[in-house]
Amino acid sequence: MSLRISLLVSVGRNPVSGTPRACRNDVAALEIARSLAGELTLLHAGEVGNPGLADYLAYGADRLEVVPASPDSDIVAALADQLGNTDLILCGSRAEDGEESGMLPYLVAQRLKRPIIGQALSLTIIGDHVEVTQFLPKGARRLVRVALPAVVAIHPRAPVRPRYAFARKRAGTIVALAPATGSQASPWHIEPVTRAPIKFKAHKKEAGHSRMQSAIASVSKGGEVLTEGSAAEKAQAILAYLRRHRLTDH
Amino acid sequence: MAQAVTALFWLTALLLAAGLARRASLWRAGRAAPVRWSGLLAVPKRYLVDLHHVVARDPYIARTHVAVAGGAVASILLVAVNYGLALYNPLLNGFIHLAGGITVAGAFFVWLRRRNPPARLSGGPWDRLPYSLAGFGFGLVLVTASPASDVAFIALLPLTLGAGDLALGIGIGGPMKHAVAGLLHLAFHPRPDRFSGVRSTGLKPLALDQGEFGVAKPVDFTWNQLLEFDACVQCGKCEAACPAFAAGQPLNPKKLMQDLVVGLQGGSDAGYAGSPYPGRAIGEHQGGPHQPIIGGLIDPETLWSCTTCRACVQECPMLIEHVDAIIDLRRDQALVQGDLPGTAPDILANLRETATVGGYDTDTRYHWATDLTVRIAKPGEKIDLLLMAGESAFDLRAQRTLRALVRLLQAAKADFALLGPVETDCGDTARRLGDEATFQSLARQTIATLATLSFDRIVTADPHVMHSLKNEYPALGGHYQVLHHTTLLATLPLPLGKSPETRSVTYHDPCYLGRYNGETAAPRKLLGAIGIEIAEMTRSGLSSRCCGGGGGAPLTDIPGETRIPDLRMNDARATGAKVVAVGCPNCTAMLEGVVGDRPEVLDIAELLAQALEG
Amino acid sequence: MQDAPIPRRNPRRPAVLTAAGLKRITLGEQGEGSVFGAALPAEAAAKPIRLTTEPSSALLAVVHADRGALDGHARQVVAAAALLAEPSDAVVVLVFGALSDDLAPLGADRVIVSPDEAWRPDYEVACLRAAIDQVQPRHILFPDTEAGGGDLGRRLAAIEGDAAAHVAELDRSCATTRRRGGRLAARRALPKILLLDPDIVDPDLPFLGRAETASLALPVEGSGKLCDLGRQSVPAADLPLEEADFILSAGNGVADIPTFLSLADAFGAAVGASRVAVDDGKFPRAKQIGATGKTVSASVYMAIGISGAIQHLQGIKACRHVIAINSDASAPIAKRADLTIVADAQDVMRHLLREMTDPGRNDMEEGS
Repeated sequence: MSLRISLLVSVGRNPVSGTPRACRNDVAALEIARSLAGELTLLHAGEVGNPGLADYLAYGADRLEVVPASPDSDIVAALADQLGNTDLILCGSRAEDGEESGMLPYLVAQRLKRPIIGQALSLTIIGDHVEVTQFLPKGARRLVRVALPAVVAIHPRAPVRPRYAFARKRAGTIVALAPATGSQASPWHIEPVTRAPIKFKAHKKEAGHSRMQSAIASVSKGGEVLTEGSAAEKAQAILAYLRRHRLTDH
Repeated sequence: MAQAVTALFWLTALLLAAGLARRASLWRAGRAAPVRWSGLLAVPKRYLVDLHHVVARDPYIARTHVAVAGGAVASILLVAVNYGLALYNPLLNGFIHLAGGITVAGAFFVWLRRRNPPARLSGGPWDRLPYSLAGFGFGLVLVTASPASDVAFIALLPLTLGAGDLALGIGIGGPMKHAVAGLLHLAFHPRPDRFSGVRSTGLKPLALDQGEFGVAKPVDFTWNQLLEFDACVQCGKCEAACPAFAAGQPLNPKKLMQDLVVGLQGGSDAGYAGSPYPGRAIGEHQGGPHQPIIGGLIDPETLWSCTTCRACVQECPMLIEHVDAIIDLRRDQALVQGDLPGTAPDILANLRETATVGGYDTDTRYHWATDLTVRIAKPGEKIDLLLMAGESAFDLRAQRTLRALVRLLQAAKADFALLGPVETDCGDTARRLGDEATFQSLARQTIATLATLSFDRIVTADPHVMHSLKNEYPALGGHYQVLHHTTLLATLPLPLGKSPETRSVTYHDPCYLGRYNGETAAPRKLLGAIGIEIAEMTRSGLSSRCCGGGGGAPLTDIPGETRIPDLRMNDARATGAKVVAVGCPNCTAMLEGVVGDRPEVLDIAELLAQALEG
Repeated sequence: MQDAPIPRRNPRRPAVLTAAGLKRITLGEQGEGSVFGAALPAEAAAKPIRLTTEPSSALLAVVHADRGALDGHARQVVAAAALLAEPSDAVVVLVFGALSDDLAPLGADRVIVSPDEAWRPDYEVACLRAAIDQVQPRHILFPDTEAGGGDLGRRLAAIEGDAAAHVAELDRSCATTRRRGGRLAARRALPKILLLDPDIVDPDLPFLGRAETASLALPVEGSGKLCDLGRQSVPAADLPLEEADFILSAGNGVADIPTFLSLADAFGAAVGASRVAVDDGKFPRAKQIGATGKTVSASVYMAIGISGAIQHLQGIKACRHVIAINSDASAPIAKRADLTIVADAQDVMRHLLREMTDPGRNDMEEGS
């Protein structure tokens, strides 16, 4: 029997114009999902008529199922209801609109009692396991194996080249499912940003002079300039700098 | 003897008809196209006048062709009358003799040309052509000289060979097919407006709702486009003019046409005997009428190297529209495959999402004018001129040109206003990359915006914007009178003195202003009005060499041996000029990107503004 | 009421005469013979320990250590826990990975270390829950990193429920995150679990923690469903430029490309170039760094022969250490670079390469 793959997608926004669009992270996840052998369904919780959803069709999805939901519905329950039979659930790591907490993959995994791997750059399905290459900082990678069924969240910088094709937009279908129920009051109070964030710091009783020093000391107009010396000495100065800041092993 | 010729005539006529039928079936595999059969009647005028204008640029071959083609056609017609209808009139015989002689003379000059041919010409079957023509002509001369002698019988041989080659050639796709295909192409040209003295350069819209998404396989072309490809004589004038070919990018318009011929008839490109795509080997591609073109027959890099400058179309003696074919292929790649190289996919996403090429906030488009006390157009207020800045408004360098333009308009006390923050991209970049859907969406948005305002004319410093609004928006319902800023400034009462510019100046004609819209005079008139004597480059005016900035080429960024703007800057350096005057923000950007010691690049508006009195 | 005498300053403070002939007082220095006995600022006094009573509640900070040390982000999270702590709260830190750092300056009172280096998220969650059972913290703080804290914190949040991620602003009563690309601020009362973004906390504290080592009954390792098949380091040349940590970048001043590339190899650095070098054909377009090229965030960016035009500097805004080698001392890159070497690029590159492949040879050649 072929693998059943579900891709959870969200509607994102262009950061400059606010135009609804397919979330870039989710598009990367779609591109990975399409490269796997299996039946792929896209699942979205939100408005059926959202103009950003058609973008997923253009990026190659044949079918997109929507659970009609409002921002305070219990979408984890609604999505989990649709995902009971799936072997592999794929999704992005963080949405572009909404709470943007990156919590959904973990909540869905917890609800369905399935293992979850995040920061996936690529994955291969081997029998009833999937091997995931995870992103680590500073250019490192980690290979992880997990048994199916599982949830895999795709890292935003997964190396894929999505292709947007207008003709595919008209060829795909968007279907509405049963609406999500339930309502939870949101603890969040939202307002436009008016100022830069204030750092959380200890209240220090300092003299005016030391406060001024710490305020101006961080502004630097460039560091050391080394003009004198032979080329060999200058090369050694560079290596000394690197060693001092523990930037190189040489 | 005469009967032999009659028989030969009817045999070749039959072969010709069969060959033509076969070839026509290949053309008819293409899509339907709206053509007027009255075009057939217009062929003589189109051939003798419009075609002649192009061919006459190379007087040697123009006169040679008159001899060869004129002689051959005349002799065929006369043979048809005299031998075909078995009239056997000695006077007509004499004329045939004469015509044959002219054909031989012409063939001699063709042979002479082919001894040391320019690199742009193709070899192979084309190198045999002088001999076939000479054989045909010579055979006729001998046959009509002494109809009943033995010599005549021997002459039947070259006559048969020559005539056979010519007649068969049409059926099997040999060089002579250009005679039939070329004439039919003149009759059924996809852009018949070319023959009414109008520059027909606007691209045709796609009916996206009806599933028209461009060309994936040869049969997706219209039948008159397939006919057009067969008309190619592989003269290579397009190749010699193409900036991408000169820069060593993998594009050769002549080979592109021949590859499309391979596509429509099936087979591989191994038989091609001309210059290849730079860096690509011949004989590794194949195709057929129902096979996808890009990938198997033509590489994507070939397609995306084109800057849509139309130098190929300008030079082509068969009036082939190479750029239309390239855009048709790009449309399928963009709309169905979604496969574009370089930064093009990101740019198209920016256009879809923010209606700007750079992904900017449209509110900031006119921030360069905040301190200039200019009006912003408002609904209900009537103005004469509406200034549209285009994408260059976001670029610091191009803003200098725009500010100079505003100063000039203010100095001329023109009644103008800026389009303002409601301006969205005109869609030119999207359309040249093949994304017709985004173009139509942006065009409709712009048309709707302009419909809320009342103005007489639009002026812009960007020839791409001008071209889109003037030549391509009418098909979508937007009809405007659009002027390039040089065209407008040439008519305004500007208080100009002598230019303080003492350095030598050359002028670079933008492709979208010169070749696309025919405007080469106004910029020169303006520069002359401020006392600048232009040191013209060898390729200037309508044969100006592209800067490389059109067709989305800087976005798809196909590497070549060198870069197109470097070639153009070399042209400028060769004139000894220290200033290059330009009329387009893309040209400004591309030419200023040339590394090293180079002339300064200034827009005409900037040069004029420097010369303003007071 | 007699307060301490008001410290008065000597008006005749040490001053210098500037080139323009004006007298400039040097701030912060006391004059000779201070008449009124001004007190010296107590700079060198030791910091007090914050926790003075027996704690009745606690806060838990969960961090991952890398090669025995906590990185800046992790340190900020521990300091945040210390700043949120009430006088009756103990600050407990759970560290995954071996730890050799002293956490007292960060306000940590108890430190629990689980020294295993392998990645087993199920085990880590089990450890975490055991720690929570034992410590009963009011709040649990994680650094919101891509691997490590961000992953573990969300696993816990999925179980526990009350959480805020990507916290961009924190104070004692509420946490704020940013939405819509930084245009909206969403604020809520402090939830139980907090995942903090980097650089929202100042880890410089005016007090110390007790930093006692504590132990925890760590759970037995169960077999998780996830199996770590090992880490691999991607060679710098294969990494996308945006991810590279050490970048060697060539500009117009680099004529000797082979030496440049060997040097990049020796450092294990990724190769980048300025627009001029790419336009000249020396490097492919994909290597271009700057406004029209890539934006990089390396820890070390070595700009060789690059003048530092504003468009290039836009691409290296996020780079931590910038070292420039340029023959022109007044090149704009000098204002951005932490170390500028004014020399011929080719010479310095050759000596650097020699120094790295055969250290000491330079000294022998140049003499003392």
